[in-house]
Amino acid sequence: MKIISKLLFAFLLVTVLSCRDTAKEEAELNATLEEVEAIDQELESISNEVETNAQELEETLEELDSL
Amino acid sequence: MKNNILKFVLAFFLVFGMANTQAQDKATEIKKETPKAKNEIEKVKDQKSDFDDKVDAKGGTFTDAASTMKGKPGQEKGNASKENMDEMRKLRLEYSEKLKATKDPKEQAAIKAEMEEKMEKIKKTNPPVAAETVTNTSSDENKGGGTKPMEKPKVTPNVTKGKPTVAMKDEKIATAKEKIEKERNDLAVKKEMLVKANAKIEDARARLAKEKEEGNLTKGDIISKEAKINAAEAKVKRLEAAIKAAETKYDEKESKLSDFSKDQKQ
Repeated sequence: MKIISKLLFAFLLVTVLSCRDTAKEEAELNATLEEVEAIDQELESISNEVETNAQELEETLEELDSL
Repeated sequence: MKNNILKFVLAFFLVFGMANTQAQDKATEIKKETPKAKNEIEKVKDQKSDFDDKVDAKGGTFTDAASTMKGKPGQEKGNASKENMDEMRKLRLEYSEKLKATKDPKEQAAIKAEMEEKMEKIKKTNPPVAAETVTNTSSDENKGGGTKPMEKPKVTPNVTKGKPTVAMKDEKIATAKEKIEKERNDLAVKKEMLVKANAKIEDARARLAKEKEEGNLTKGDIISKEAKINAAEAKVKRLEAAIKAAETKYDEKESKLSDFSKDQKQ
């Protein structure tokens, strides 16, 4: 009888461990993906800003050349 | 009794374990196939958008042998064939009544001939070939006289609405990291540009000082030139600040991305 109860307990443990909370994992994954996308967009805006500043500087440097 | 129960429990565990491993295998297979499927979906989407663009560019103009139909192709050809069928059905009904009314074979033959004539007229005004094939007139493809039917690519519905996977996340993180690396290289180029700009500004200042000494310039000229040099300096400072900000932000984002990767490994 003891063996059976031990086995049942082991079975219960395995069941609990194998039943993962997939919905929660999915939500976490979604959140991460959204964050990565947001980072991607931010990178885009940062590089755009640097690029516009560089272009403006180039224009003024051209003016300096003609001084 | 105990032995039997033990056997039963062991068998149950065995089945349970096998089912679990099978499910895991399936999950890994799906993970592997996800990027392939995504690529295929992208291809099909491109094909579809190309087709839509072509149709939009041609203004939905399609021709048959005699006339030009404008509007949506499916709608037009559908309407044409429907009208055709209706008219033919009416004709058949009309003439079948006439045929029933007369028993004289000569009259019946005349009625039949008349009916066939009318049927052919209807077929000529709306030929079934035009209803089936969709061709365009304005494109260069058809200038050679041949008419090619445009095939709409098949689109698998709801394939993109898949669940997010770890592979997708990894891919996105990797691409974001690559982007950061690329942007850093761009920043290095911009830094070189800053050095060159500073040298140019110095050079311009030296030239201005020399011209001032020589007394070749009016006061207005001096002021405008100084203003231009100052503006250039301000722009250099702005770009320097933007580069610094970008560097710190890139570091920040990179560490965030690394955290995402670490979380997943844990």
